[in-house]
Parts: sequence; C-alpha cells; structure tokens
Amino acid sequence: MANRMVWNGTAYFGAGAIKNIPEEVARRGFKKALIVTDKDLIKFGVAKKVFDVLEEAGLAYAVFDSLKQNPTIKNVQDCVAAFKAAGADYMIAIGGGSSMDTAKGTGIIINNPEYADVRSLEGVAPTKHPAVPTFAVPTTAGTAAETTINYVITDEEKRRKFVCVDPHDIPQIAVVDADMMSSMPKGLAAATGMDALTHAIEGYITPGAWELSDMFSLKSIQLIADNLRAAVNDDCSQAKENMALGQYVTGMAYSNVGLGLVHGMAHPLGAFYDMPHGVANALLLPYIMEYNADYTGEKYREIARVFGVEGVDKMSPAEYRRAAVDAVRQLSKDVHIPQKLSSSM
Amino acid sequence: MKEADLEALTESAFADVCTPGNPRKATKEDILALYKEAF
Repeated sequence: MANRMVWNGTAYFGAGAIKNIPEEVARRGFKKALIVTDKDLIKFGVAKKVFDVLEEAGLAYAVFDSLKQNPTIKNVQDCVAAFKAAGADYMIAIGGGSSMDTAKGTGIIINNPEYADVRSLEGVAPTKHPAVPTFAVPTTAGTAAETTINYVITDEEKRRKFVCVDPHDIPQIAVVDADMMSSMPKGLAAATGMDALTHAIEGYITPGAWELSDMFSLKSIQLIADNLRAAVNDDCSQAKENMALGQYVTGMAYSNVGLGLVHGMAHPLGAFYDMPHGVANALLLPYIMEYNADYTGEKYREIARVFGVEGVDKMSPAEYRRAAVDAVRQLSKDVHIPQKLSSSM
Repeated sequence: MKEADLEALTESAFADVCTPGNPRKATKEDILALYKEAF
C-alpha cells in the first residue's frame, strides 16, 4: 500500500517570520489580499502586525473579520462574498483554526463554484481545482490548520460540526511566527497546546500511522511535553517558540493519517455548547487514552519515554501504559485544564 | 452541559468522520460511558 503525504509548498518558522510575506507575494505576482481574521485579533493588535508589514511594502488588502469560534456555514458564505467584493486574488488567514478553516472553505468555493452549498463539501468532496492561494499565519499553538488538508464547519441549524478533507485546501504558504502567538491568554495557550498534544497522540496511535508520520508525531509529543508548562505558566519565549514548532510538526502527520475518538467526541461538544475545540480535546484526552490503552502495541512506551518517564524499557505493557496516561493527565493538570465536563462550562 | 444531551452527543460522536481513526473500535455504549465518565 502506498502512503500519501500532503504538506505546504513553502513554510517559514521563527520569531519575525511574517516579514517574509511581501517577498512571497511579489514572487507569486499576487495583487490584493483578503485578510481573514477575527475581531479579537483586530482588537488586541495581533492582526495589525501583519497589516503593518503589508502597508510598509505597499501591498493592497481588505479585511474580513465576521467569524466566530467554531465557524459556521454563514461565516464561510459571508467570507466568499467578501472575497468577491474586495476583488482579491489571494488570502491571508490570521488566527487559530477558526480563521484558517473559514479561509479554506472560502478558497475552495471561489475556485469550485459548483460547491457553493457549504454542506456539499462535507467528507471528501472531489473538487477539481486548488483553493485560492492562501498564506496561513497561526496565532495559537495550536491547531496546525496551516498545514492540514482538513477544515471543520459548524452547521448551526443541524447542531453539528462537519469535517471536510480535501488536499486542494492546503495553504500554499505557512508562516509560523511565535511573535504572532505571544499575546495568547494563558487559558487559550493551555487549551490549544493540549489540542496539539491530542493531535500528536491520536495521529501516533491511529491505524493509518506509519514510520514517517510517527517520526513527526513523536517529535511533536516530545516538544509539547518539554515546553507546554513553561510556555503557559512561565511565559518563556523559547518554550513558546518550541510549542509553535511542535504544533506544526504534528500537523504534518495527523493531517495525512487521521485522528480518533477524542476528536470524534470533541466535535459534538463544540456544536452543542460552542465549547472551544482545544478545551474539549484536552479534557477528553486522558480518558480516551485510558480506553485505548490495550489497542496501542508498544506506542505508549514511546509516549512515556518522550515525557521523560524513567525505566520504561523495564516496564510491562500495563505499567508503561499507565505511565503514559498519568504523564499526560499530569501535564493537563499542570496547565490548569478542567478535568470534568461538568466543571468546564 | 446537560446530562439529558448525552444520547444525542453519543449519536453525533459515533457518526463523526474522525471516530473511525480510533485504534479501538468504539460502540455507542462505549462512547456514552466515556462521556459519563468525563461528565
């Protein structure tokens, strides 16, 4: 069996990486951007960092910020209309998964108008054309939506979230700049960091995982285990930079091999209660790791190892599985994630 | 979160596109039990 891996064509990493956007725009001959972001990122001056870079380079842009967390069908429809009204020829998505997913759905519909009914994109819609070229600038660490081929839209009427999987939606350019994430409130940094850990663990134990995806998943688990506490609790800039990388690296794996029951159970919590996706994943992760433990071969031994648990080679399967679940639960507690659904809303 | 919603949440999670990627094949009963445990 052949394994397919889909990744960004171009990606930048490191504090200050957004300064490279104008050169990439010029190289591609783009004329006008639609910036897709949310109102909080405008209010707190995060999106402005990109606006300043564009203005300094004399690049034209319009802004769409009418989207909510767990973006809806209407958000995508409005963004499509905004793209047309602006006369834009590319997008810059600035935000967490909500901004990037809205941009993905929009970019697909603009270039594949037969899918203008957003619901028709659910699952693996066989679109014919790549989406509108998009720069993705994540502001959380994170969903890795900048390097995944998936996006999730909420159908408010039917009270459900639906997942769309389409290699045509992957952003052309990812700009993973830790300075764009530095003003995240602690609660958001904790939830999105645990979301990234969930991606890494589910992408590591899913039956579609293989050597190459495991390489990314395991490195990601290690980066998050080593850095999430300091990034959230100590405001450490090096730890934040490492989290920015860790959340991206897991996307290179899970986007291509799949996830699991944590996501399956987290999506309804988003649709029913508008619970932030990161919180839902973070809360469910230890329970479902425990449930899956006997179906994961030796993989929990490696998870325990990269979490720094000593003596894993001498442990029985029951011992290393216990150790892996305990290590994840401890990290979740240390960054103050609620441990029960009843206390989380 | 309301306990009365648990059945509907379970149906939705069972049908979710991410669920088949789980290494252990989950039944609706399993999912309901996990929601209750987390609740």
